[in-house]
Amino acid sequence: MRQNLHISLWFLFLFLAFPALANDHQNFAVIVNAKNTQKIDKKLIKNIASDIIANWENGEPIKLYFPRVKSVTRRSFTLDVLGISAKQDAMNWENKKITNTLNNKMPKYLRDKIILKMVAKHPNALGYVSPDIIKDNPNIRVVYTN
Amino acid sequence: MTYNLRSLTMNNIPFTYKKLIPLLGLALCSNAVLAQENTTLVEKKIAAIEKQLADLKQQLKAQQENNEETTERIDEIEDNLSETQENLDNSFKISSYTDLEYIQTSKVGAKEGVRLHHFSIFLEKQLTPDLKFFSETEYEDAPKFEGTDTNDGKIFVEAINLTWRVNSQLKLRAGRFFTPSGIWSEFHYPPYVPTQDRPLFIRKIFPQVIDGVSAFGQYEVSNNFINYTFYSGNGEGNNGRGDQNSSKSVGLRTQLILPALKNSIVGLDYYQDTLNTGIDKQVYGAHGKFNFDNFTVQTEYAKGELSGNSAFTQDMLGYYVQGVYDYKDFSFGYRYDFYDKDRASAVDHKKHNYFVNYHVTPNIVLKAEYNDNIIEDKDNYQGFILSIAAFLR
Repeated sequence: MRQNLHISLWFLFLFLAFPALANDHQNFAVIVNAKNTQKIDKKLIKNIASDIIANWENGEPIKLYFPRVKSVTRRSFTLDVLGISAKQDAMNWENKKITNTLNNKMPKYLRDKIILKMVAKHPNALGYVSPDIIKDNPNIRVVYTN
Repeated sequence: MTYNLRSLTMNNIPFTYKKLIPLLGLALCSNAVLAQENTTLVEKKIAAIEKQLADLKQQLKAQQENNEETTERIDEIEDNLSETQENLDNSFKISSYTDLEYIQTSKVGAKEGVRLHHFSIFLEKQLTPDLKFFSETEYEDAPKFEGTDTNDGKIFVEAINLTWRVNSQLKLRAGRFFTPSGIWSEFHYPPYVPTQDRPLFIRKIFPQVIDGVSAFGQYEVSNNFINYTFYSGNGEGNNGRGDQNSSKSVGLRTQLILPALKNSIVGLDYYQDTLNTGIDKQVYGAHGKFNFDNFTVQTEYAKGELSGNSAFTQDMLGYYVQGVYDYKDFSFGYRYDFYDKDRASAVDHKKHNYFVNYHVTPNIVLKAEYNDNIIEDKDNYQGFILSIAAFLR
């Protein structure tokens, strides 16, 4: 009886192990303050957004401004850059927060327009937003788009 | 009848036309008067328009000044908002986590029922940009202490420490903290682990907490990262009041993080202590977490050796392998678990754990898990747990 249950559960597990991640892409732009002249590529963005890197080259701590978990921009970013869902990304941050193992400070979860303003204001900020709202903002530097 | 205008004089103008001449003069005069009146009217209108224009210019100027003032006020509000946010970041923060279980088990002597398992309170404060206070007090099984009316349960200050960020490669921590060994020892909180049941050897080979100091940090090496945590403390068997022997425990965890493999990690652990009984303890461990698209394999291994002065030795061994598949808001998985607290005796404990999680939000999870325990020379038993766990912040 117990053996049958083990086998059934293994089959269920293997059956569920095959579907791939849902593809749900929208455009996004990763932005930093215009005063930030550091060379920033997708790899660096991934390491920052994964909480592996917490400081810019000049040693200053990075300020993170992310869209809210249910935002399409957030979903697109996490799938494209991190290869995980927005919810999983949020869980990873929360898990590091509860275990006191964060390298960065917790990101601020804001609306796109506020993220734009915050990044334009803070020289050490990094955020990502929908590219439609950026326009010609002289205080913003777009460092990556999908 | 035609007239030559050159030869036209008063004498040869017909009478009818002569009568028209005064009328024509009158008409011309009145036209001039009317024209004069029109000019005055137009001038008045122009003056009125000019006045309106001037007023509009003045209004526009006032509006522009208002706009500048409004922009300045918005900037000021944004500055205040940033400042408030900074202050909030640095303020005393309270958060909590809790979980509730319904347990069924065939273990001898155990009954099915609800367990109010954990309720923890976290207090945090960023004292300076580089200095942070963190604490966790756990209430396990909803304890009650009222005179002699006391029930089972536990109140335990699991963490209370200060962390100083020296630079991006080095942080120093002092106080009580979870033993930085392997993965589960630190990353064990119910809202973020797939089972309420923890792997069998966790807290039994490496200690649960360290009262002491640690130095930790991270270096980048060829696009990968190596992190280290060196720690030293009073050792096992002591409380927050102090150390009952003079020897200190020491430990080291080092991990390689592989960004190219979705931040998979592999790591090694070492721990050494002389217990208050004079017995020496040495522990070696290894761990790994391998991330694929939406499938994760996590494994830990630990081997402990206890050796005394009088030819006493005891070897401990524990390991587990866990696979989790994430599909939308669900996680499905299996864990095989092994623990032998004394290699020389028949006390092997094996456990199969099957589980399903539903992540309601990033901070709330519903879990169902079934475990099958096979214990050498003892009654085997099965257990089933339904639970909800939440991080409240």
